[in-house]
Amino acid sequence: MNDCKILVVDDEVRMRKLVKDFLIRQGYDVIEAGDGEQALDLFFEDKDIALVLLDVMMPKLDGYETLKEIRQYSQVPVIMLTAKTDEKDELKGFELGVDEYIAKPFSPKILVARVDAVLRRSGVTGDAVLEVAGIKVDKSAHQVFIDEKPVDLSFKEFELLVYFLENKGIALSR
Amino acid sequence: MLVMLGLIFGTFLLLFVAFRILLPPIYEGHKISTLTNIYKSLNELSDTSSDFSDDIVSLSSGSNMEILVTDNEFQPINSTSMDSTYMSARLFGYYTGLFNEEYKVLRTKDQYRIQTSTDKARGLRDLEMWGQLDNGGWFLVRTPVEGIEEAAKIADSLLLAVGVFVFIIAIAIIIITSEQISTPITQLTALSKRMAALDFKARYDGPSDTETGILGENFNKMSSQLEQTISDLKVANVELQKDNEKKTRTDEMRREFLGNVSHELKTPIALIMGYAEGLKDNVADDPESREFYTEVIIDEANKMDAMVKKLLTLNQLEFGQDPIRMERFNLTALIKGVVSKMQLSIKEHEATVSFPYDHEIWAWGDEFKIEEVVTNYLSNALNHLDGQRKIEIRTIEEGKLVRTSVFNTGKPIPQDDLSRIWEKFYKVDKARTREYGGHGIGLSIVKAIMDGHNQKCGVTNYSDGVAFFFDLEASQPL
Repeated sequence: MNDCKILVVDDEVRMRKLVKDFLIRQGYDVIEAGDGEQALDLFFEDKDIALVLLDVMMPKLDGYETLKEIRQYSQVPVIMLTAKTDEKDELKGFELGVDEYIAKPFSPKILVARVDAVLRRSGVTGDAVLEVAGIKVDKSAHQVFIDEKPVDLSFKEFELLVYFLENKGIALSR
Repeated sequence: MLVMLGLIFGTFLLLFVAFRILLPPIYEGHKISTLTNIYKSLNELSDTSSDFSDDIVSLSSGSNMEILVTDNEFQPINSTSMDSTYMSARLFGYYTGLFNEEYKVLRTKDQYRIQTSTDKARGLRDLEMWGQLDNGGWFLVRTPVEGIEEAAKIADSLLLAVGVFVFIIAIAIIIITSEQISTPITQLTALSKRMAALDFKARYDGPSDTETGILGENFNKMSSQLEQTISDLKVANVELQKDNEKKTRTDEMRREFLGNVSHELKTPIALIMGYAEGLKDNVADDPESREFYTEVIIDEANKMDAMVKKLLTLNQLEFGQDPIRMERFNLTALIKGVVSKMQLSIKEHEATVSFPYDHEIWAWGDEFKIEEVVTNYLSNALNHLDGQRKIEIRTIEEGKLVRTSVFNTGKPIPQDDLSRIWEKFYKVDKARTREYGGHGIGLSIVKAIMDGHNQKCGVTNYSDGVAFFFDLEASQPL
């Protein structure tokens, strides 16, 4: 469907397999790494990686350190997976430049939906024109059409509409 | 001190004033009575004889008096005076009242008059008595007043001298005695100040037979009581602090433990949830994948179950709810039993287990729990087996102790981890531990069991492997 390459980093083989299975079903390409060092090696080898799913607690190099390394060279979207639920840890992740934060245990379906959303938001898969139920949004031209007729929207309204369309099917919090 | 000096001074002042005011009248009274007696004697003498000059000499000699007795014509008959004519002239003068010299009458009776007079010719003041005797003759007795005043003056100066002397001595005595009283009090004051500052080395060490001594002894008692009480309080305080620290530590440990447990459980729960969702959503669409998904769910559930069981065991051991039952048992047979029970796992790991021994060894301990220790060591050895894939179990007798060691070939444990491997949930290699289903609890259980036995357990790194050991008290065979 969209042939994006996703790097899944987790020291737990079964977790990697589960995430991989779900992502492949969604049409993504998946490469795996068992620790932070391996993840960095793979990341710098392969320039096509569109998103990194990063576990925090890993041997050799933990998720935070790996993220720091990646952020020095790349603004690739990163979603962190962790069993740590401390707000402090979460904040640390965001300070280091994480795009999403998912706490274990999680639903793989939600994980996949988040991956979709992050990719769309970052513009990797984001088509310039979104079309849902007769509503057509041209993001690059900032124009909205309903049944091919242009509609005037304020900037906020436009942003909100785009956000809703991009997160279609996901329960959103305020 | 001042009060005492004042008292002494006052006493002397009083004496001085008394002398000055009271002495003359008392002296006068005394003289008057002497004069009265002389009059009586003269009357008696004149009755019996006309010449009694010897008798009046003896009368006058005791009291420094001049006596003149005349007949009724004022002609001197008997006299102790050198100038009896002059005296008789005075007597006549008094009688006739012509005598113009000043005099002061002190007492007047029918027969005599007592007076003081000033003799201008001699320039002296006299005390005089004159009158008529029963036989009609006249008499005059006089004594100089100067004597009295002189005596009074001498008495005054004597009093002053004695007074000054006594005063000086009194001051000296007061200073000495007050020193004796106040010195210990000054000492006690200094002592009480030190005691108030909780200086328990301060001790009264003077004599204990005086009042201040008793006070000092009481000070000492008070000080030691205070010291005792304060030291008791301090001990209680330290205990309280220790308790507090212990409580804080326990709380911290509990929090850490809960954090570890929940973290430990999160991975299997996440896997079970995820794989179940995968099955439901048909992510695994072929039978093989479905089989794999189901197996993962069952396996993760089993791991959780094993972990909970181990935690319960550890908890019971640590809180002493599962006490050690000491008995004599055959250690060699126990180890052989464990090895044969784990035969399947040994084959799976392609391990060679050797247990050389030349005679059976018996030991004191809780057989069931020691079996758990050996099982733990052996399964750890299998899980970390590498290289030549050899495991060697030995029992070595060292005096009263018997040391059991389990050696496996493989990678040595990193130095930093060596001391921490006995901690709950501590894993040297997290991924590997999870792979074989460990939770980092096994060695904590071993440690708890060996602590319960009051024996050592430990680990030694070798270049080609690792050996874990534990000690037990050796015993005679049953």
